[in-house]
Amino acid sequence: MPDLRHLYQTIMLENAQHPQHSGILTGAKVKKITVHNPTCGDELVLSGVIEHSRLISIAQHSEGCIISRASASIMTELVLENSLDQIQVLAAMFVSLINGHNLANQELLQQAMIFSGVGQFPMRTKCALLPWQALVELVEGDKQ
Amino acid sequence: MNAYREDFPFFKAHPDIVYFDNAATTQKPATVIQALIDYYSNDNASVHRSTYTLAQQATDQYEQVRTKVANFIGARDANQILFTKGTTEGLNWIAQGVCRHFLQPGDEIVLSVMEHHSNLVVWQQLANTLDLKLRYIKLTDQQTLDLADAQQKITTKTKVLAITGVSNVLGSSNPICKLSKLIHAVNGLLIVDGAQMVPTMPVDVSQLQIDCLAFSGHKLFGPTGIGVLYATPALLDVLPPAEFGGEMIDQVSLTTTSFQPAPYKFEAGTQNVAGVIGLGAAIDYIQTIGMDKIHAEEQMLGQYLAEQLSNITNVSIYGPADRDSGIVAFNVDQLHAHDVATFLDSNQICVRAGTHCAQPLVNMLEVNATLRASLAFYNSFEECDQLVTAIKAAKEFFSYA
Repeated sequence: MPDLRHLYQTIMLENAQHPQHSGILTGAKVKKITVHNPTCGDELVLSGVIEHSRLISIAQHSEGCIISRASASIMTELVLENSLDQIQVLAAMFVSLINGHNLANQELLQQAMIFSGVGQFPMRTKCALLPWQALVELVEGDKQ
Repeated sequence: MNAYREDFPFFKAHPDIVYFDNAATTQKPATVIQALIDYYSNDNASVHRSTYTLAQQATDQYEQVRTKVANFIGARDANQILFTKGTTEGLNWIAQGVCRHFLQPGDEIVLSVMEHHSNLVVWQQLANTLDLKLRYIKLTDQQTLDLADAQQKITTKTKVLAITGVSNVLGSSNPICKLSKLIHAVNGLLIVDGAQMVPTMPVDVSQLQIDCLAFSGHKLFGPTGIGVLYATPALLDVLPPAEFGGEMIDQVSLTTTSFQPAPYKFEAGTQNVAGVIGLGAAIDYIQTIGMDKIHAEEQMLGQYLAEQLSNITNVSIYGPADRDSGIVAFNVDQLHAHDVATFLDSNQICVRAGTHCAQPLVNMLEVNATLRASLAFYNSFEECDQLVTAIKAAKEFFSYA
């Protein structure tokens, strides 16, 4: 069993306790995606506004474990104001990171790199990926 | 340490593991594992089809288990025992058969809100398709089945009461005897999900007048992939086969087929013979202990664990104060069940975390998920103490941020 301190790093616990971009956006331009993890009952509502192929506003409402809440918090901070192309690159990188692959431009993931240890806990990878799954759904369709 | 552990190779392989996930699946005694090895090493032959001596011996072994199961659950006749893949398949077969062949649009089916998805989704889907009405018995404030509500919900419109014997989350047992009287007073059928009940307490289907009972081998210290469906002759004679194939037929022409009588008409294709033989060995093993004793020990372990956990600040326990099984669901305030479960795993304690295939019930408890420790007779008070110590450490660990 790998060290739990490596999994639950301080930044992760802080983000879970004090999540960034917390809430649900409202308004005509808001796109909203709800995703579930059926095994644990976790739910995440991701809401965002996309204009000119760019994510100009985002919020997340996450009911879940430390890993999924922290992942949602760090992801929203990372992807805000990025282009949809950049977001898709980041999402693909994050999936690779969780799957244990070495990344060439890992600095692009910034704080999301703290999830590199999740791959050693295969039963918990879904928790880290859930917000990103919602994000991919959110930007899909808006991308030309 | 508990003396029964000696009988289980798993605990020799993992002497330090606290295995508290017995409601999901149990460990297997050496005798069950040996029965599988013996069967495949010495006795493997086709059952029912072939005429040589070895095949006859395999058939005999297979059919002896049918009788063994019948005796184990108090069935009058071995022909009332069908072998299935598990509880889920048994409940699906019976729900499909009963709904499609006995029920009319508008007929009512009563379930409880504590059902496992395997005794809920199938009824719900059939009710939607066939225009049947589902009604759910509520819980009392003590999180037990509300019998007064059961009396209200079971009416002359009720054709089926399908209910679990023991809740896989709350750990409480339902008053099957009383429910049996209620449903039979309106000439309805009593279908019992025995997945958790059969492994933890004595069950006598004749005495309780259960019309159908489904349970799984792997939760009963037997192999995976084998289960049992018990049903009354009145049902088995009338219900059509759920699947078609080899050995379940009487005569086949290019346009028509007649079928064997029950139980054979329900056992299409080559069956899980090794699974059946392993299940027989599991029943032999638990009968050397006795279901009364198993029930008493698991109740005692469940009671002890629930009390010890409730002494920790900010731990909530679900289910009634008087425990009736080794199943104890709980949560640690502010901490998510999955984080705690990962922490416990790092301390070699195996518990379940999540919705336990009972989302409506867990939602009713107003949480997203719970932890669940489910103990079997081979667990010990020392292991309960280990869990309690680890829960305290988890609170410490996650509070450092």
